[in-house]
Amino acid sequence: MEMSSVTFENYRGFEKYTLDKLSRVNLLVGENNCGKTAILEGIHFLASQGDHGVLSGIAINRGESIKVEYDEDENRKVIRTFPIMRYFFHGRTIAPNQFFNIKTDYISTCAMVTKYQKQDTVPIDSTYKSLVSLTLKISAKKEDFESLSSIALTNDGIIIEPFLPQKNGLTQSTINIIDATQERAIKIFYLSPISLSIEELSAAWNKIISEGKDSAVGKAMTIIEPRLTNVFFLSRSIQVFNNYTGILVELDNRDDQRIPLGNFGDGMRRLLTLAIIMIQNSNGIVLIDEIDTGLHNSIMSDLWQFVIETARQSNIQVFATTHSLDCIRGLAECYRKYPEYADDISLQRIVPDLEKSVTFNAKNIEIAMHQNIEVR
Amino acid sequence: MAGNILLVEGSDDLHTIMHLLIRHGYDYNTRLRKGDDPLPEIHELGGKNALLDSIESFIAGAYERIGFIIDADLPISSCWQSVRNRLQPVGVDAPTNPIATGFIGTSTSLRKQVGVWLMPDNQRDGTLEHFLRELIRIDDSLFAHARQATVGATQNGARFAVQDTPKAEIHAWLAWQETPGLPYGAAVGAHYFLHDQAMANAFVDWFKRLYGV
Repeated sequence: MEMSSVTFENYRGFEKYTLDKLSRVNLLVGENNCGKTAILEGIHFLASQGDHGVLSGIAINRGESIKVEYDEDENRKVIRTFPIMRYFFHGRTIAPNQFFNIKTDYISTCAMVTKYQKQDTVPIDSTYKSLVSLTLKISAKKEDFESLSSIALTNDGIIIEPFLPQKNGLTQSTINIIDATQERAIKIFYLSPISLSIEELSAAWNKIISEGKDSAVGKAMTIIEPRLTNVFFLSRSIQVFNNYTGILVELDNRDDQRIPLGNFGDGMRRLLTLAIIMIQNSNGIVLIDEIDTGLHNSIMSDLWQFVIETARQSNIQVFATTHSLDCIRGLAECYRKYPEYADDISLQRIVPDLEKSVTFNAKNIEIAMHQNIEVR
Repeated sequence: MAGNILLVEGSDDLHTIMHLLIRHGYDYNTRLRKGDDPLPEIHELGGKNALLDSIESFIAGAYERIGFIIDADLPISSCWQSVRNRLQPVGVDAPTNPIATGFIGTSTSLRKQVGVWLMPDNQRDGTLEHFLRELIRIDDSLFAHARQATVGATQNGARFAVQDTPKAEIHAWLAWQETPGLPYGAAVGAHYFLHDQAMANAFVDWFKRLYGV
């Protein structure tokens, strides 16, 4: 279900802020520190229906965390990372009765701080029990669904329960809450400017293969390399992890022309990641921070064409951010070539001092680019 | 924020306005723009329709104070209505009729100031040329001659349209100045035109109020 607006209250830099007149594909722009990434993260939390694991993952991703070293037993020291929750609150402080909420037409989430009480029965490692003084109660409401979860916090808003930042084998560069057991969950994927690791990519690729969607990925990759005819992932045993020699790209349909992806530029990896994520998230939400990372200006329009077309065909709502004027120009150019995308595009200028984002529809994006209007 | 901006239809408008402002003491000659410079950058947009079409996008853009100078040649009532229709979606309430001293309003939702000046004087139908004609001395005998000559030219097969008569008259007059045939802006800069006549002063006053300069 598409979100037509999202409202944030007491959340990060926003006292009260609404993203309005949203479309299928939404590009968020604004000055540095205006809160674009915070908005993507907020939508992620909202779509996760109040999963505190998502909040914790965001905090750790941002470095809003503390590391604690302690003796697990006599022989072993363990370092643990604990996420700090107070930065999610407007004003960056935390105290009983403070809350933030994020809501859209059909779902709302609220995180509320209360005094810790014994009956809150949050699971706490006995090591930390004495530090607990607050409880973060997270509620989510949807037509057919309501949930409430609690988590213990210290005075400073630190989550000190045993916490696993890695879910489904994904590392900190991504937080993926796709969970087969959570039938009700909205499919969502957050792509940070750091692309996925090769392990994550190949895991995603296996899924793409099993669903028979690999040719769609290959087609997207031809945006950068028109000669590309196939993509192969080598099996784990001979992969050299953390570089891209484990992925081969076939050119011109010739099996003697299989070249490691690492031989191509960053753009190829980024586009592969984007293509895989878009294609496997049908009927879901895709959040892309700094969509243009690693991609050359000349392919921006084609990139948007791929994103918009896939979003249309697979019923995906996309929220992307950029700092790049070329990226916005690419969107305008794409609309010029494909006027039928008029209703699928919005540009959201984020100005935290206002109450609402400033929305440009497709036509006004094109005018703004034609007249060199500064929209960032 | 990208500062303040003033939008005009074409290059004649741009140079005329800029030279007029220079003659009123604004430094458009030598300055290098800084981020907090209140003096607006002046941009031409390539015609009336282009300007009307981009009103919403400029107001929604990253500018603090935004001004538009538009020829009132539709006639003025429908020109003003076209402007109002484009101000309304970005939260700027404009009165039913244009304001003689130039419109200055606020977008409450975007918290920014927006001004509109209809050439020549927010009251009459007209263009930049009607404004410029006011900047020629009433008793300028050369201009009287240019007007007569323009009438004579029509009788001798000159092909300009009736509504372009002020343009033909001014260009004829400019052809006979010390440096013949200067474009409008340069002619303002060369002091062929007056700069402190009532209509020019009213315009500069609107400019001052809009940008706080």
